[in-house]
Amino acid sequence: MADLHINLAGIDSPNPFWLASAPPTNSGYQVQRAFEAGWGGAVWKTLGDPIINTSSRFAAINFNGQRVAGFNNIELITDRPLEINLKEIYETKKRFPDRAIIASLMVEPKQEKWHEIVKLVEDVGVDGLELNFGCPHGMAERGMGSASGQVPELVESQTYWVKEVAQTPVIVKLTPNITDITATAEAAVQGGADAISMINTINSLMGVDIDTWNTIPNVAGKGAHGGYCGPAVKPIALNMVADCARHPLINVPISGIGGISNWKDTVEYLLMGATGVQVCTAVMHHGFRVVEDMIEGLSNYLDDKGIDSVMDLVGKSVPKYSDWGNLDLNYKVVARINNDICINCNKCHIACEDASHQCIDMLKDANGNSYLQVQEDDCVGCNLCSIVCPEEGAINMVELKGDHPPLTWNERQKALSEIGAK
Amino acid sequence: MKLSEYQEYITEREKFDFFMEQGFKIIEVNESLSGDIVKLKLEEKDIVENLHIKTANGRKYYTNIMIMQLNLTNV
Ligand SMILES: Cc1cc2nc3c(=O)[nH]c(=O)nc-3n(C[C@H](O)[C@H](O)[C@H](O)COP(=O)(O)O)c2cc1C
Repeated sequence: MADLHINLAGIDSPNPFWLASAPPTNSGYQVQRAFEAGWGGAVWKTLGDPIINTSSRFAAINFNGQRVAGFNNIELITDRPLEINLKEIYETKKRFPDRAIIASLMVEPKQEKWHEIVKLVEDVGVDGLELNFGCPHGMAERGMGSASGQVPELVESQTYWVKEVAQTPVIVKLTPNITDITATAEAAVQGGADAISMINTINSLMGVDIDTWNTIPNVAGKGAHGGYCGPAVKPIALNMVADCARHPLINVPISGIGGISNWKDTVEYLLMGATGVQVCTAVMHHGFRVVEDMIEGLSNYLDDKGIDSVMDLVGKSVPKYSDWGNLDLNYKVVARINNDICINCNKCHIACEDASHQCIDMLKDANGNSYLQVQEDDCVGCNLCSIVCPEEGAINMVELKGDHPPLTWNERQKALSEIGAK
Repeated sequence: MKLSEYQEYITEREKFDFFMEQGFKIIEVNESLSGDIVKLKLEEKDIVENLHIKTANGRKYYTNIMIMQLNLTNV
């Protein structure tokens, strides 16, 4: 059986599955049950001055029968006194010494505030710290969370203050509510971060009730923006992880977060440069036991691939992720319809006619039966027909061998300048 | 009318090949909103021709040839 053990910036964990800082890590009772279920680590619900939450705080998007495709919250950090959390962290660590417990922290951007809380949490034996520079609502209005996480200088200085006193590894959790996450990631590295984690939630308004005209969720008829997460955000988060992983100045491990629901999502994050993952929404939706399938699936995957250690997956797809200008313009795929599987729903024809290059013809054979055929010469290989096709295997995108060697946009522009283009 | 870019491309490619076969070389390219104007020159007879390339495949095609031409002159 493959070794699932990870080491993230010096933090050991028996597997790459950690609970993200959120309601499932609110108390010792929960984290201990999570550890019993098999979670390798937990980032405790963010500690700081205890807050007051609103009642009515979550909402979800159910899309075409898939419940909780996206999740939204206006919850703040912990509402429990620090001493109680510290006592429960201590007890949990004592019961599960082999699991990673990370304290998520958020205080005002003042050096003495950071020094104070770091010392207090490290005294109870946490394995690492995660600085929450990401919460996009409520706390941000008080100058914390994403308000400080959006300003590279504040990320750097606060990380630096923490590093002045921290004895354990420091993970900086980044907000996605910024144009270029590598700017704040680099600031965290400059400040001395041992690792970075991403993403926290994305600014969102879940919806408006078209009968009452209230926002969703609403608090006594009023709403405020929340943070979006769950399966819908995975592509956004994965791109941010990949962008940081391939950035030459961001050379610290990454803890990947955002829409991870199963072992396959986890493999994708690891391949794109994450050393481990954190999960929130999937657990809020299905409970701690989802980790059992995650562990089994990951383990089987590694065994099937003949890979000894999960750490060997980390970053393997990063060199395959580049800029558009480095993609081969001579590469060509075309759609091919398998008429044995095709059910003649014509969705591909409609999509191609209305939204692409008008190259799927509706034809009739000698017996008068309808069939669909791609004019390959005009097919640009956009993939749209295979995306809208409801029948698995009815449309395959096949690679065509070309006459020319690879040609990228960057090479083209270089050649144009050499030839003297104006 | 359906758009058959492929036919348009084939016409462009044939024109391009016609000049290439006679020994013309790409000497200049001007990119514009209307597509690319590729300036071809037959050195020994000092003849210059302009080809207006409007299709994406046409742009790829002449670029491939231009790169081959540059590689040949660079060796
Ligand atoms: C209800 C709720 C509360 C959260 N509270 C915190 C928090 O206190 N600290 C923090 O760093 N992130 C918090 N998060 C963000 C999660 O840790 C995580 O970054 C985000 O949900 C994306 O992961 P997911 O798609 O698996 O849910 C919270 C998320 C939710 C849904």
